[in-house]
Amino acid sequence: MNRKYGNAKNLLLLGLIAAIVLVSGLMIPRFLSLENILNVIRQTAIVSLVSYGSAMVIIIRGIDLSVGGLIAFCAMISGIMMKSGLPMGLAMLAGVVCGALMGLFSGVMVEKLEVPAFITTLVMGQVATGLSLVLGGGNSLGGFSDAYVFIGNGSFLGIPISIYITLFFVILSYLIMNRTRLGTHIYALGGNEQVVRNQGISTAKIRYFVFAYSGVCAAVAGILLSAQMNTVHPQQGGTYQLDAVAACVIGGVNMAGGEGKVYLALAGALTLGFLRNALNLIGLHPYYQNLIVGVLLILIVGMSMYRRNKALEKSLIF
Amino acid sequence: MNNTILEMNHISKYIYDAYGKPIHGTDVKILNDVHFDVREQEVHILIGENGAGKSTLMKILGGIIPHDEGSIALFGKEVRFTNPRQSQTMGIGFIHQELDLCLNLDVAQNLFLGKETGKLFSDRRGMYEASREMLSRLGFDIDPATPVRLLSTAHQQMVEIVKAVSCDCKIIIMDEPTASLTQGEIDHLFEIIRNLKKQGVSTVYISHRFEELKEIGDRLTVLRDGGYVGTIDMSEFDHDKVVNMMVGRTLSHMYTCRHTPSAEEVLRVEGLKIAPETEPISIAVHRGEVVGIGGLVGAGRTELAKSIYGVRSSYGGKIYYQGKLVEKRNPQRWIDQGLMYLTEDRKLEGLVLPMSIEGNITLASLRRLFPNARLKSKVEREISTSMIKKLRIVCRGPKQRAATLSGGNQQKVVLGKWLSAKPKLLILDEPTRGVDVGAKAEIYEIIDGLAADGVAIMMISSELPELINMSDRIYVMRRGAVSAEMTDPDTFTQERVLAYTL
Amino acid sequence: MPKTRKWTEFFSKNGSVAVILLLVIFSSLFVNHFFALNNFALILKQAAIPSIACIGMTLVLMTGGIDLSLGYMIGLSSISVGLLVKTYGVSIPLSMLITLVLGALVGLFNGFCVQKIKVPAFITTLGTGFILLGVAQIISNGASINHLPEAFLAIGKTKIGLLNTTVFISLGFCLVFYYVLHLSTFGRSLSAFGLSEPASRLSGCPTARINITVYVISSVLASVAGILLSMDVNCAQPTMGGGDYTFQVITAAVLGGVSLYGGIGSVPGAVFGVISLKVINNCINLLNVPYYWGSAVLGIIILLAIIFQNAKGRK
Repeated sequence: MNRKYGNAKNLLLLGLIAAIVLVSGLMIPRFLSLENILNVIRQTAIVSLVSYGSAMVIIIRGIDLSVGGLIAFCAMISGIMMKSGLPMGLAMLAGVVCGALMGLFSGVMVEKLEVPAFITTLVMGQVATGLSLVLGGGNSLGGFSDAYVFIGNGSFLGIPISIYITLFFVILSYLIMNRTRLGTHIYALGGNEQVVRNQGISTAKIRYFVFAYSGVCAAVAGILLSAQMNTVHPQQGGTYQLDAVAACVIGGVNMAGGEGKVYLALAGALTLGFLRNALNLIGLHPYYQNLIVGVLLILIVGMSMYRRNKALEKSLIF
Repeated sequence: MNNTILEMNHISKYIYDAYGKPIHGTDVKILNDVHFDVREQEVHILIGENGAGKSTLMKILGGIIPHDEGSIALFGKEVRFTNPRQSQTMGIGFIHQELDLCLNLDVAQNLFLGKETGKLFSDRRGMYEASREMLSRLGFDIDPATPVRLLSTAHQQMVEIVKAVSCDCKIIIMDEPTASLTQGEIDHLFEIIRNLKKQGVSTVYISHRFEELKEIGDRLTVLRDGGYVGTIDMSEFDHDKVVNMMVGRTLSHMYTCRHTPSAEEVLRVEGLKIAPETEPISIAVHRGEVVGIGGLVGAGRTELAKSIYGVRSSYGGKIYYQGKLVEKRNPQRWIDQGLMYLTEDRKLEGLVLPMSIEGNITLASLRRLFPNARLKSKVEREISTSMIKKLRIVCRGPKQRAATLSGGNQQKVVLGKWLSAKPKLLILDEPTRGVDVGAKAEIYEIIDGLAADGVAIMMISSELPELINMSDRIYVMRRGAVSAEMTDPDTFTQERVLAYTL
Repeated sequence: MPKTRKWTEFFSKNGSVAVILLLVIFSSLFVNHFFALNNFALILKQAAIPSIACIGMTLVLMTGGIDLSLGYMIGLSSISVGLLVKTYGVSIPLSMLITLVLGALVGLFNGFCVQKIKVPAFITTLGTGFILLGVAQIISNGASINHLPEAFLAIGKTKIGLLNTTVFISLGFCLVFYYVLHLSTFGRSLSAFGLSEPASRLSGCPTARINITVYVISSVLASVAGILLSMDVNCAQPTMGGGDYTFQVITAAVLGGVSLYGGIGSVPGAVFGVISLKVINNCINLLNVPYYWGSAVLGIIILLAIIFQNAKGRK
């Protein structure tokens, strides 16, 4: 019965996207234009990238609130490297490595010091934001090479490069989670940590990987964002954090851990992207958007928690 | 006679205090000089009351906790188990009472957790095929792709069995495997055990159910109070003899009896069900009376207490307190009216460990002592000091943190908390668990004194001597319902109580 | 017990005192112009308003939760009181009352979600925060309100000696909440709840009520902070406070000795934590370090504080 319910949830999600797209398409003239859709998908790429890593962290019963800061910090690092003459590829790699290291540090604090994930990542995010301010001297960094800008805004075979990048990562995430033993272990850790330990599996390695991966995803997202905008702004992380969590939640990743498909986070990100876009085109101020996302977040998590509590009460066999 | 493949000799395990230091003294060891051996191709039954040490002994074998004294030899070689994985690799499979499965994964994933096949990508098809084969070889009709949380408890247990069996082990430990199985499933289980025997795998079978033991067992070992009583061959099995081995002598000098139960009813429970499928429970407790609640772990005694107290949902039934029907039940209301519950698990639910003795003792009386919400340290100090004296709590002073006290003193602090709250009815759940003999006697005296003062006492206990000597009446619970009410203290014997629990 | 051991025990229990002392000593020695009455007065003035907010955050952290909406509540209350007082001409006392009630409602919502529906606190308050930000921007159309009425400003900015009324208002709150947390049964139940939820609940503590109340307190105190901040800068802004402010308050709370697992925290600790933070800020200014180092330094400090707190081994 629960399996049917699980599928029903996915159908609901797809239905939600379809509904938003349809309704918006009917009501808003420019919504269904190719140009608009490609634009939305290009922008959604950023949020979706972040959400893959966030989804994994949520699955192991954690949360990554550092992604906002990492988006700025890693882009700043790679920007500075490029400005000092390093080839673009290496500079971007440097940024990604930084993201991985920061994530790894969070993972170590959560695993070894047993500090709750939300505080650890909250603090790391602040450190990252602070460092990007220092690195940039309080200013944004801009004016990158044409190649860089092309990656952010150009297309290959008619499809924006941003989309290739996000597709690459969603496939990578899918392969990791569903086709490797690490993926099984990640789900297991979210399900029952004691069992994982009993089987002799190192929970530390799992945690380190997941947090580092989340850092990598945030780094890639940040670098892509700065390529799209041709500027690194130290505060650019902003609402991406909220959106990433919302995307995961809409995509059915359960807050209680152990459940959820990473590729559904992509669907959640798309939903969010189209929603924001529709609200924009109606003329609704950006102010309303964050409000609605906030409401959605609480609503969805609230409902899933409520349902879960009811189920838990019922299953209390003595 | 078959060869011995496992020998555990002179095994002892101490109790540890809050600092991690072992407490010495023969009367407080969890296991004391226990002997246990397993032969090839046998089913060896391990029995004993709650707290006898069977789970501890098996946990040592399973690598979950280490032993403090003694030696273990597996296939002739001396071993020391340091973690569950190592014990598994050496050939010991363990099926716990609490399921050792990840509910969010499917059957195949659980079976192969930690042992996944495949190089870069896991060989899913291979694992599913292998799982299917393992399941059908044992006669289980379960689809390996089913998420474990969708399986019934019985099926989940089957998966655990497959998991244990498939690790190439020579000894499988089964801890109360038939607790939630139907008769048909039990028969199936026994067939599996017999098949295993033929294939050269021995089973250590922990259970209370005498009817089953005769069917499946080859030998039987009895533990009592952490000590080894003896091992008999199942051909010599005699019901009374075994029960005798389990219960032992009563230390009646520990108990005083100054109280006389009155006829005034304080609590009456009518038709309360602790789960939708269990039988309704009806009990009553009177002023100045000590009512014992006996039964095995899992019989539903704590669940009953928690249902009455309002921290657990119940199904149907009415509760009358001091003659009046009680509608809403929660700890706050109950305490204000004088009904209180001393929990089974003092570390988690009874004490706020990092807080001082003083803070803990006054915790349930805050509203009563300080009606205008203003704490008065003088009042707190007086109350806690007088409790410390009255209950003879061994400590450095009221400001000492509860976490640093010994088990017996911690329990006294919890008692002190409830006593300070002036109870009219006190539910005690295993009041002397983990308490040394000296403190036990003191606690019995305190309980007796309370009853003499007119407090109604409901005492849940797994220790038969305690139950028999303290109670004026005994309700015995089994499978979520009351199986018997014993009203004549002269007829209380351990054998009789045990008979009702099984 | 040897004397040094007694000192180490005192400092490990009252870490916030140690931190402040070290900072003040260090700064007095190495930073020019630090050790001056004017400077100390400045630090106190700067610490006054965040202390109020930090008290609320401390209470929430003590339950094992967190209030990520605090900074945004400040913004909403700032613009609310500004709109009421200036744009709609509502009387000052009534405007402040309405704003406080608004805070209470927000807190009730947070508390309800956390306690009754069991949505994790960081999710609830993350969501609420953005909702508050959105509302603040909508009702103000993104614009700030300047030149607030003199009578309004006077409440906070009247000078008494070297300090202004805000400091004394803050002191008042600190005293009230010192009583609540350390001398009342509510505070005792709160500590017990934070240290062991099951034990406190089974002992009859009104844990549901406590959990909801701390979020109400946090949001109301955030409202107070928003109102006072508006007086301070003579401007009502929807963006007042914000995420950064929330983080600073959390840092101050942790510096002040709050345990992130719950149960441990104090009002003096909250105040000392804020003062420590302001001392650090003060030094950064006096040393002419560029302002943008502030975030990074703050982040690293709290990181070190957390590592230090937990490396000792918790509980």
